[in-house]
Amino acid sequence: MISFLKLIIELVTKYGVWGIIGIFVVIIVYLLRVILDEDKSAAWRARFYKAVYKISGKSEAEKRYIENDISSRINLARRNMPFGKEHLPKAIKVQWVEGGKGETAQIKENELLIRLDPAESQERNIVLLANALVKQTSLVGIRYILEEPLEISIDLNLVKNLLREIGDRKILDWYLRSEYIPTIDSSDGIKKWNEKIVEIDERGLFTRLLLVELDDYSKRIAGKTETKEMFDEIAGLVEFLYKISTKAYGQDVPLDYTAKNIKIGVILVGETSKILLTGIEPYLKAFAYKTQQLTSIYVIQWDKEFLGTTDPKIYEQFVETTQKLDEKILENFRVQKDFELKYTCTDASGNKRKAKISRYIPVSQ
Amino acid sequence: MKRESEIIRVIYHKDVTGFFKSLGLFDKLMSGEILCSVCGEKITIENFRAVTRKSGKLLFCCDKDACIQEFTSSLKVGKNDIVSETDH
Repeated sequence: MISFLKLIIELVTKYGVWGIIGIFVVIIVYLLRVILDEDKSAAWRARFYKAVYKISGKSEAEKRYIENDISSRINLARRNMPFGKEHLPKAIKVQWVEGGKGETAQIKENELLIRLDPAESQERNIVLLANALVKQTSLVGIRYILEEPLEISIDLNLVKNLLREIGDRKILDWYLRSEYIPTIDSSDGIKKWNEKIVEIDERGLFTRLLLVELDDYSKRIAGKTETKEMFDEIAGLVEFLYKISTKAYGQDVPLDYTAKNIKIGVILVGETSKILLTGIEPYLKAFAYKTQQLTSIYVIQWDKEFLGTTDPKIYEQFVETTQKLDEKILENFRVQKDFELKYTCTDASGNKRKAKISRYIPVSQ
Repeated sequence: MKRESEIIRVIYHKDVTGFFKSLGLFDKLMSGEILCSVCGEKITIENFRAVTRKSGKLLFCCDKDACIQEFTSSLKVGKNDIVSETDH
């Protein structure tokens, strides 16, 4: 704040009237961006009503604070969660039940109404609604297939990711202590699946690959009756991604997964030296094979974060080579690039890595 | 562009009494006839956490973390393992 005021004084003394106009324009642009962004404006409304509530203690102010604070925090957090081209879970809108006559008729089949705690327990309110939102808007169309331990493990980690994106340590700690850890400890089945989901998540493949494929899967099986084979296909996909996620240096693991309703392939660009020595030809050859068999192909690139600082020239060469791989894929094959996402993650040995995941869909399929 | 949002209806902590009155279940609540559909504990104004409707019947949940977890999980289609319900 002090440095911001210093900057304003400096601008005004240096540029006079033009400095004041410049500051004014910046403030207007900032305000416009807040007003046009419903989540950011909800965050400001929450601050306003919180102050009103603290001063007046009025119930109406408390309700407006709780409602705007939950909406802004959860909705801003979900926008940072990568899920292919979309966001997951859906945006939330909190609506108060006014308790008038005939309320019972308005409770729809399977609708969940939740009693929220006072504003002083807002952490708990946020966790409650994050949980409800994830359960109601994710894994749509496949929940009936999933065995409970896997379903719970996916939900737990999705809620954890959402709360982590909120960026408030108190909320995440409350969730981990009160729900995440006790739920995992309650069953060996949940513990087993959760370990796999956590490994997949740590390599960045939970929201960017697993949930993307599960979303596609739900569309493919829409209207079909639940079978054991369907659950096995999904469980097999998790196992497949777990093996890739825990792959040791030089270890061979399957890079294609073919089941009745899931046919995906992965090309790993994990060893910087390998692609620099061999060039992109072996990767293109692997890609060519996969386009004939599979419905989606992922190119996952994990590079060494420190490479950019220890050997910038090699790093630059690595970036150029991987860009060339992407260009050649689009040039040589009949594929549609669905998305490309950059992120950072830790590898199986605990090293920090910069990563990139691209999804390609063969168009002949 | 208008985005798609999930509307979640919530009950204000000071409106619980009014909410049960609007359902016509306030007397049942006070006489301890409404039970948590997960653990079977009596629902009170203080421990009431959630309500839903399944096959036309209202189901209630107390504020224990384990109960609300199970209660929300049981809302998925084709799964109905909660035990107590209220005709209404």
